[in-house]
Amino acid sequence: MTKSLNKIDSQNVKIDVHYLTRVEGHGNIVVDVKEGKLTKCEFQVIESPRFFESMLVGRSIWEAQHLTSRICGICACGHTLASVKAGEDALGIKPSDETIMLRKLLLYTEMLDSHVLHIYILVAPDLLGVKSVVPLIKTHRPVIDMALRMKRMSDYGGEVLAGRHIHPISYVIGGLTQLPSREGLEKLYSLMLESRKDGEETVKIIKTLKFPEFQRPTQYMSLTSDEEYAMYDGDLMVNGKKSKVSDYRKLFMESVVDYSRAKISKINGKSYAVGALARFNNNSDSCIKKQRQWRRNWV
Amino acid sequence: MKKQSKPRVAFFDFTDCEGCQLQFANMGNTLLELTELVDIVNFREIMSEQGQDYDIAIVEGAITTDNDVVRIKKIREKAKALVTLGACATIAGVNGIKNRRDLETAKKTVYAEKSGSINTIKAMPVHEVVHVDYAINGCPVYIPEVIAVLKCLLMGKPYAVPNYPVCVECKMNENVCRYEKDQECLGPVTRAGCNSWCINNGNRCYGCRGLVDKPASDAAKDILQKYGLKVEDILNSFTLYNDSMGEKYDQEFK
Repeated sequence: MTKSLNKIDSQNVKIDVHYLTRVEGHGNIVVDVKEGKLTKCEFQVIESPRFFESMLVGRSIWEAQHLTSRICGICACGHTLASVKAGEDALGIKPSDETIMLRKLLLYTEMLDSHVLHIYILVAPDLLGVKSVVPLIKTHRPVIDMALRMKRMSDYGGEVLAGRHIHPISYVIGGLTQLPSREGLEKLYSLMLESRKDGEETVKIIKTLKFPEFQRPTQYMSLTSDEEYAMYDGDLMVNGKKSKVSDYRKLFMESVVDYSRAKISKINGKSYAVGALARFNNNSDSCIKKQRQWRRNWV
Repeated sequence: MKKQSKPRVAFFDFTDCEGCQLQFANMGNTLLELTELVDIVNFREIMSEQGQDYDIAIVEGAITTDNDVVRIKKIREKAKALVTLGACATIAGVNGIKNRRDLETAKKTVYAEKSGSINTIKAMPVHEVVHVDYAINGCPVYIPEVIAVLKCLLMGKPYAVPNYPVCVECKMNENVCRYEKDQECLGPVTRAGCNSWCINNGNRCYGCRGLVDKPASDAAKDILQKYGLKVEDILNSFTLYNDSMGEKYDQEFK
């Protein structure tokens, strides 16, 4: 059912990864080079089509966030908050400063959770030459324990702030259905302080890992803000140029291709990169002092 | 060959968000204990091995394409026990919404002139296609219930899925009834087992675990009437997670 078939000589390359593992979602990579000429290079998203745009038709605005959240269980808080913000924009509702601060905190804990999962569970096995985290439980137990400790901290954040990370409960258009408890927030605060040493240890560990050499020219797209390291709000930033989020349709070109269930999105007719690296490259000046120090040590 | 002593477990996903599988990663130390009790041989989201010999298949997601039907039948042939994980697998979840619209319209809405190449069929829960041994409800699944089901599974005992409404758990948690707060809530007819998760966090019940087998529909209608609501007011609300049970609630409430 699932086979990788890779044949390589100097003039002919055939790569057929059927399907990628240790990623969220289903994707194949197909590359074909015949006599030195690239004939095929496709990232095929073979996910069953889900029809979210169609599901939304005729539903209550209060249900929109449920559907948007179900696009992806790993980044459900991000999806939920995007939907909630869009709903508020449509209705002309301005949430309180308290609500916005709690939303940002929720996003940070989700981001932490996702990065710990990504680094230790999804990527580390590749860099250490094993097929999954399972053998690492035996060979690198203290590191795995540390990773799970960090994950517990961020999971606890989701629990206290929103009821849960996966499809958060209490964040709705206009505010929260229930404020987090004081005890919960205090416990989260102390867990976060304790977790700082694990974060520093993570930076040290990553520095010892050998990453494959890979560089490519691309466009980095992320949020940007003069006030903070932007994740919740701000302008769109690509190639040093800012645009308003509401100009999304002017900036991005989406199209449907035959080989993929996911649409292809381009900026200026070219592909672009998003995510942590794009955010970092576009906003490194607004990093906090400690991050800047780590960055200096890195290079 | 070495004797297999531990049951071999494989995870498979169909049409879904993969959040319920992620709940396994969120189990923390329980996950480590679990890896001592079973051999995980196939789990695409977190490992590269794609073992095709397994005893237990844990299946997430709804069946929504012809290929999904073929795949789930093959999995059923191999697995000694099949467990459905989460609302998409147990009641089709949000995927079921498309069943109420013409599929061609749904395809055109999203894929426009390329819609001809898209294969999609009615969204179905797994049990509509193959036999299911254990079902874990919820969107997402509730970790304490996942652990309870896994314990039964490993001991070879049946798991009794709660067959009383969310209100039972909600009362035990001493929540104020959502109807008292002028909200519509699906708790009175929705299957419990989540410990009234959403209501504990100030929200209401959206019915992600599906209907109880015999919903007390007359009593539910009385509640609606008491608070000045009609069945029609909340009927659309059911279809958010629950459309595959559409006929059943139409029967019960209309």
